[in-house]
Amino acid sequence: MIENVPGREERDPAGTARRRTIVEVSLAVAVPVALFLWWQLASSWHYLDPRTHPAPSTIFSTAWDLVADGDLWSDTFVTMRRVVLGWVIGGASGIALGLLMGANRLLRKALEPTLDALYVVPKLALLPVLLTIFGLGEGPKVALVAITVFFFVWISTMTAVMSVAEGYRETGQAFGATRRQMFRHVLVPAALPAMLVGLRVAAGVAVLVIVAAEYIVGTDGLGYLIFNAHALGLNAEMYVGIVVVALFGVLFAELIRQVGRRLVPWAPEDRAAGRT
Amino acid sequence: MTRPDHRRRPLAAALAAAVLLLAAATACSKKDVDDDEEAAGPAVEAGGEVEGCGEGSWTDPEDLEPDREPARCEPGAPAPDPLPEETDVVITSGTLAAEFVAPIQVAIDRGEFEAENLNVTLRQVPPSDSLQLLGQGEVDAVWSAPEAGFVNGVDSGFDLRWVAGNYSTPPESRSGLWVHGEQGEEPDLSELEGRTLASIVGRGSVALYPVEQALDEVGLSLSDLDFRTLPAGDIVTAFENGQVDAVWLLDPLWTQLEDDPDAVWVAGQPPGEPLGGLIYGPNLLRDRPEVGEAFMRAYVRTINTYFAGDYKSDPEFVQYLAELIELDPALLESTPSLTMDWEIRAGSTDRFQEVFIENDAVRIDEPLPEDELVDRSFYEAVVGHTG
Repeated sequence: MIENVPGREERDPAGTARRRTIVEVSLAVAVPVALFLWWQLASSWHYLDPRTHPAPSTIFSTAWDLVADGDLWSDTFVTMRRVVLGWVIGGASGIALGLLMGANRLLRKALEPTLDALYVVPKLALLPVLLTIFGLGEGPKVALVAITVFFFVWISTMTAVMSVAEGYRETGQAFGATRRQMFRHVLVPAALPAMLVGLRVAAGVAVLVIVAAEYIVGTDGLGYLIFNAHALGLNAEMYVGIVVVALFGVLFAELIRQVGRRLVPWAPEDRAAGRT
Repeated sequence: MTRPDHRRRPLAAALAAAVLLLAAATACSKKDVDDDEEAAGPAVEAGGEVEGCGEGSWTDPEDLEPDREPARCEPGAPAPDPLPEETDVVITSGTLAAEFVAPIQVAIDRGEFEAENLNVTLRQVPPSDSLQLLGQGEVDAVWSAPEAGFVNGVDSGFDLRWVAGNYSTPPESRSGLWVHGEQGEEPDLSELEGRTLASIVGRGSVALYPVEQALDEVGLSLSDLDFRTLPAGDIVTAFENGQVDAVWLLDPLWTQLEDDPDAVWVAGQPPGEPLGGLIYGPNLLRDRPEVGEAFMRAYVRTINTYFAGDYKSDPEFVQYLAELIELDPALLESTPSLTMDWEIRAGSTDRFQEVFIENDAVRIDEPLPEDELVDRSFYEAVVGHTG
């Protein structure tokens, strides 16, 4: 006789989920804390040269000074504005073209080779071109972010639409869905999870690109802060910029993930999270 | 019986780590301060007269006259005094394809370092990285300028000294500040207030010192302008298109504006005052000053032998230089010979630092004393100046 004894997960699913969340959050906090602790000690005991790699305590006090001066706020705000604006423009156009190309074979055949060729061009190489088109203002930087985001979102959206299971399409047809209804009720909902992944990945890459662009032609922003501080030998300020960029990238991507969770509760990751 | 609450263990561990972090931060902050090094004096002393280097081989650093003759020895002097064994020296420069690097390139190519038993390697490294490598002893010397990064490096505890100059521009050079205007007319610099000034170098560059001087004459400073850094490939186009109102251009970029009827040269490098040159780190300053002296001897001899006067008047030498530093000979000929000058003027670092402080490029309120930034003892020793 086989006796099936329910495990703790089955006896107390809510408690198990809570415990797992606590462990996961603790790990997510403990790893960076341990890293900072190691960095602090290594710098203080001169395993790392504190002049070139200042201790976290020095970086924190430098950040405090920059915040008090107002410099850090303004640079962070400028970078955020460029990233968000570029991400919205690039994301919207990427979704629109991705949906159209995913659903329309002829359009796909017409545009895909050209877009594929442009996709492999390093986006930073376009900066001089954008400078001559938009001048020295915000235009080239926002455009660079938008172009970068566009390609990530376009590819993920188009692929997602093309990969919608045949069964979904057949079901839609069986219910007599029009072309518009098929698009609205079948293709877009099925592609949304992959589109959101594309938007989230693009958010991280947008931060990378804006930092590089602000370095090349910047007078402000976190990229300018990092590279200007590096050029001036102000290593603590450089690390402040790096830490803020990292935090901004994490928070921006997390914000998109949370919004996505609410918009697309049927996404695989969120279904998995819901089970725990 | 109450079961222990295992759920709180990971959180407790994270909190304990955070507490440890703060404790360590507090305990360790003093150690960083204690590591600051005391300013050291001159690294070497002159041994006496040097054959071929007479009275004209040294000039008073206080002499700031624009028409001062640069120090010179006879060609081939000071004679080599080889080290007992072959010694490796690594020097870096932000660029290799530039005329101001030519003395180092020629010294390598013509065996002047070899004559001192030095095996010199010249590497291209951005100045901001090279100064940190220099301070850590990873490289021995840097061919650059005492820019804000250098001042900040010394201020943070790196043992660095500006030990020799490089060049000053001749009066006919138009390297410097250009603005829009009609050729032949005196531009009104006060109109630049609120306008855009572009440069290929950043706010921490010594190049801004002459810009600040020019603006000062009309009651402005760099902070009154919108300063931008642009890539060398875009800066002239941006000026010609009217995207920027003024540009600071180095050799040979300014030659592109020479015939532009809408561009006027306003100011250049102060005559007779080198703004850059050779920077030594702890390896050559403290650990092996005799190597630093041998390097300096080869450098000074190279200037006396190959760059003493108008070196571009010899077409063969221009051709040789062009091949060596990989520049177009026509481009090299389009600008006048630089006035190579191994000496450092008194007060230069004070003046640079005032501009850096004004432009928020350094984190000091008062200029660091000159003896914490400059060491003239190497070039004085190799020409036999004992004063």
